Amino acid sequence: MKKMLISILIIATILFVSGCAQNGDVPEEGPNAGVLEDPSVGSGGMDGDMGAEVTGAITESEETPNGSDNITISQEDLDRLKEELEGLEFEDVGGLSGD
Amino acid sequence: MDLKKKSFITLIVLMMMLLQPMTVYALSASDAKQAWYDAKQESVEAQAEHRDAKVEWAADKTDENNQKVIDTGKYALHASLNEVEAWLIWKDLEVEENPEIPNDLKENIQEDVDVNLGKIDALRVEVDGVENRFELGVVFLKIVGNYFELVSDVARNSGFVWVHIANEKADTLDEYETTLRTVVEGMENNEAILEKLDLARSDIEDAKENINNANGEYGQVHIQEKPLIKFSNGNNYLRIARGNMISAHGYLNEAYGLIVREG
Repeated sequence: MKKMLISILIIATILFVSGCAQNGDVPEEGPNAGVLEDPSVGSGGMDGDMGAEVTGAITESEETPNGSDNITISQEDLDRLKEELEGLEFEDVGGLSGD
Repeated sequence: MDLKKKSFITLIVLMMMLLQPMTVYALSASDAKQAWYDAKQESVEAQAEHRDAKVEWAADKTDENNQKVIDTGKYALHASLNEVEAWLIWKDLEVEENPEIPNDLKENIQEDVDVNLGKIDALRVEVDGVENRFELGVVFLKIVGNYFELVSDVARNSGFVWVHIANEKADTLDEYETTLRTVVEGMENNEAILEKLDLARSDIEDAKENINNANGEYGQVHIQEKPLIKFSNGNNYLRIARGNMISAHGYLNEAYGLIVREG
């Protein structure tokens, strides 16, 4: 009986801890998760915020057409895009062979 | 109910609660894809075994060999259903894990997967009910007919998902090219770099054309129109588009290197 209660307590604790861990992951991944996983989508790979954190980026001068944008591309962005392109796979579906 | 019994039931329920999420999280899209490869291999092997059994029966028409044809045939049919099932599960998880896929496509695929998984269960019951060679032939033909139905809707939408992803990559290349060109146009002695960017631009245009062609092929993936061939054609266009994009990326990379060196 005592063993049973201890087992229940242990499992309930594991459930509680794993629940907290899963909830805790969300804010950490939060807004940056999409950028890290797929920076090339839309303008994500070239926005100003991301560029500010990248060293060795090419920055457009103030003579750009709209003048105020600070658009950057880094070698890191290019390398990541290459990796994504090489990872694209388009698999055919098999078929049943004749009897 | 005594306390001991209640405690035992509570323990079981808690165990189930603990194990359930573990099993759900265990299967990722890449695991599901591997499971599909495995199921595909098993299906090929099962069909070979069935063919061998038929050869044996043709050489020696005993009851035992006849039964072997029926058993291996049923096994081969189950294996082919396992293959389709694994493919559908992979497609389901693939779209579920990708936050960039438009919701309408995602919902269409997941609905089709659910419907078709139900159809597979019904077909399994029919396979289990086969008792002789005639029934085996009838069920085989039925499954061949259903096979296209099971995969065509999901294949078409899956193709559209790939088109969406490929378009995003092409757009990113396009934006990178434009950004680099704007920088280069403000530089002196920029001919060599502009040449690289022109080559990249040309590849990007080719990629977009091939992606558009793939979209057209996927749009024709219907039961009435050789769906697997159309799907395969769409895939081929996307493979060429991927080559175009990798080539464009190479030119952009070279242009970037020249800008860094000369800047």
